[in-house]
Amino acid sequence: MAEILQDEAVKKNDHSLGDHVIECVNVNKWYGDFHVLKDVNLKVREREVVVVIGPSGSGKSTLIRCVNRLEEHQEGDIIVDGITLTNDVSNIAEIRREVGMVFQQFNLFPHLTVMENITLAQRYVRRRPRAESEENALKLLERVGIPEQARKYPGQLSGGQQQRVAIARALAMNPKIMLFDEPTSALDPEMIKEVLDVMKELAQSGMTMMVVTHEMGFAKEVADRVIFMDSGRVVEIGTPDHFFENPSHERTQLFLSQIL
Amino acid sequence: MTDQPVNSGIEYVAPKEPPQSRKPPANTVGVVGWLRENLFDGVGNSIATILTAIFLIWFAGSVMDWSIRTAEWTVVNNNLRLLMVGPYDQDELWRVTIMAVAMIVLSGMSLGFWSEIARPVFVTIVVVMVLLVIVPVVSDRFPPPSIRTIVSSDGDVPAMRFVGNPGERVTVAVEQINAENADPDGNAFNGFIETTPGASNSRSIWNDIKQGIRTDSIDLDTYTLTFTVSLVDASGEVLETVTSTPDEPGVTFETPLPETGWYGVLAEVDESSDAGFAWIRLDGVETYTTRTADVEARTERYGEQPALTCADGSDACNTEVAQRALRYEGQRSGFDYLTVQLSPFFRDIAIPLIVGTVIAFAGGVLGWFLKRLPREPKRITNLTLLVAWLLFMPFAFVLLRGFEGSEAVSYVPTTDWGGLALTLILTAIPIVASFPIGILLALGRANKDLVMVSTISTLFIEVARGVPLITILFFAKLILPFFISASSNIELAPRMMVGLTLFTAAYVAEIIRGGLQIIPKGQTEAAQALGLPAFYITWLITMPQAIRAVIPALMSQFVSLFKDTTLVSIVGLFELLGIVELIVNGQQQYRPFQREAYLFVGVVYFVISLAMASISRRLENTGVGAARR
Repeated sequence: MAEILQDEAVKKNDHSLGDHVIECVNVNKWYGDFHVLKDVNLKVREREVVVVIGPSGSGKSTLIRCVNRLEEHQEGDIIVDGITLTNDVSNIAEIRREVGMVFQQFNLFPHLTVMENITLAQRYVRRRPRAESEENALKLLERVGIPEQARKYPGQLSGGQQQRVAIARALAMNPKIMLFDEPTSALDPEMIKEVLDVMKELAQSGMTMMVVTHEMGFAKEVADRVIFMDSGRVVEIGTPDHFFENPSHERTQLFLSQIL
Repeated sequence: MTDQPVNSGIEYVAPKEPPQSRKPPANTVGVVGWLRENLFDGVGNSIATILTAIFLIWFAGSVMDWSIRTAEWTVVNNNLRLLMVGPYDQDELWRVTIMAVAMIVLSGMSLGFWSEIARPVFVTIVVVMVLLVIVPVVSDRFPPPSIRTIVSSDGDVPAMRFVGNPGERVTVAVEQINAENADPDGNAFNGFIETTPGASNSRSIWNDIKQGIRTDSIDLDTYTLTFTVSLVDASGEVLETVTSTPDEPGVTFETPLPETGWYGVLAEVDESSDAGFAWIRLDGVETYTTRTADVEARTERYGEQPALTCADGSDACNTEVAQRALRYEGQRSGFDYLTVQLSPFFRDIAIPLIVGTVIAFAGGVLGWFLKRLPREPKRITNLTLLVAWLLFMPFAFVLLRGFEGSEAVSYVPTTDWGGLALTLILTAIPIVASFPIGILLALGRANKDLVMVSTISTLFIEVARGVPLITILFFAKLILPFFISASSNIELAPRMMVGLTLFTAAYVAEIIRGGLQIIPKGQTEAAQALGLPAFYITWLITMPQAIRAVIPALMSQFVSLFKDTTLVSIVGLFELLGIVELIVNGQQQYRPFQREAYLFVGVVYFVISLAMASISRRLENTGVGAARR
């Protein structure tokens, strides 16, 4: 059924979907004896926005952390941008260059200025000259709405500003795919919106995004597809309309009845 | 509230404008607020404050009292060169000077470039410099202190020798010591003792008299002293003479000196005298300091100190030098302390210290300007400074050591190094060397993937930490040559540096590993997600943060290393503490003054440790450290 739903997926934002850029085939993962991902099958197309929701401990963060190999899976294949993830270091490096990630706790580098945070990887991974990196960084800061904070340290910014810097930092590598691991969960209510607005703008620009979040409003509004996970397995995949209005699985219905 | 309708559902609505911000109550801010909050916050705190203050005042008073009224600082004064550079070849001291100047310039520039001088530190330095100038200048304006000696019935009266110039008027006065004016603890009895080399036991003889008066075992009521006091010139010719009798003990004369040269005041005790004590006081003559430099200058100007003939023509006055050479100069008052002890010391250290400070400030100003350069030249300056520091260490070492067979920079074996210079070298080189080794060991131990590397690092760290430093130093000295025959050619000092380096590296490794552990995992993950290779993640992300987090612990380890360099004196190097031991044990006349010498080096160690601690605090509070808070 999942396969059918994927193929029926309609792009909500105004551009057509491309090929599959993330493919998970029968992915299994254990933490010690604990089976955290169970036979996960999933495909994400280019320019598609996929929102992953589910209760705590359902494995949704682990899943997207597997996509850029922050976590290692033990069985199955994960194919990102045509490259199958293995333990080969150069292989991993290649994928990480193409996949940007935004974390719940921002994880900005506190000893570097905002500008340095954004230029660091450009200079040491992409080998861009400093001037070009900084020009790029300023453009990105303008895009996320805080060009005036470039010379400050992360500790001097509000949570929402920090998360926007983190998004700019990831975008600076010109990734093909962006992963968001609960980007608004550590923010004050007043700051959630400013981050979601940046993410919406990003989605409209055609970025491939995989977002773990509890923001149902965002999922309804922006997602092309919603994936519901529970106890390490994918329970249901569907368009937001179908998913929120007319969920098929019992577990999904229970989950939605509790949060809505 | 009551007139609001209860059923409206709204209980309170604030006015549109928030109230104006007001100043906090006056007694919670400023000096008063600070005092209230920190010192007199409740009964217990107030009592603790007062008791502590009383203790501190008492303690500081005792130390001051001792150092002014009892201590004899000549030992420090006369051995400054030994204390600074040890037995280093005197003709080659220019190398030490070059090293010191280079170090001061670099330090000043680094301070100006990477940090800035805190105002309290700046004020302290300026105050010290001003004192260094003012004390000698002011004390020159005081009349020179009087010189005293005691006449007793045993007949041996020290000959007071002094130098004078034509027209200077000297006063000689005799005063009976009786029950009224005898005050063995008073200033008169506590002059600064000056002795000729070889006269080390004289202090105890005079202490016996003092002790006798104090315990009433000496009878001051009977006084039968009859003696003549004469002023003689270098050839023994009597210029003036008076006789003091039991009926009229208080005699005095004042006379101008005829020419430039040596003079003496001699006392000849009559046979009939068998009880009592009297002072002879000499006023108006230049202080007879035994500072080595002063002695040389005096010989230069007035010639060798002459042998004195006694008034009766015999040369008895030159026998038993040990007892006869003793005399008291000045009284133990604050002013005489300034004149006799502090001022000559300040004179000695003022010029080097002021020149050093000026050079350091010049470097600091240069660094301050460099800091304001545009980014690219600033980055280059940053690198240049770092490299300069790294190159400075081997440069200093090679310069001080010289080359075998070289004329210009002849070879000075490291066994001849010593004093503060050796201490600083033994501190600086191991600090610089142990830092990268410690980082590598920390990374090695924290590495979970390469088990062998991790095991070897752990083993090294635990062995180096589990063995007392002194054992490591003895190992470096005695055992190493058996294992590695080439190492027997290496001199002792470098071997000690290796020992200190390895020992410190183990601790640095553990400190840095502790720092790495507190860096959140998210930092590494974020860097990985950006595609940074492992080396850059360590070099750019985790290590800088880890090191910054452990600056206080690192610095305290380095201060500890600085103090631990004293241990090399046990294996035969004369660093600052070793040289003090050499001075007080090797030169007989300084043996009674161990307390002064050890206290002095204690203060030197303390001041340098304090400076290191303050650098550490600046590092913590500047740049990113400050911004993160």
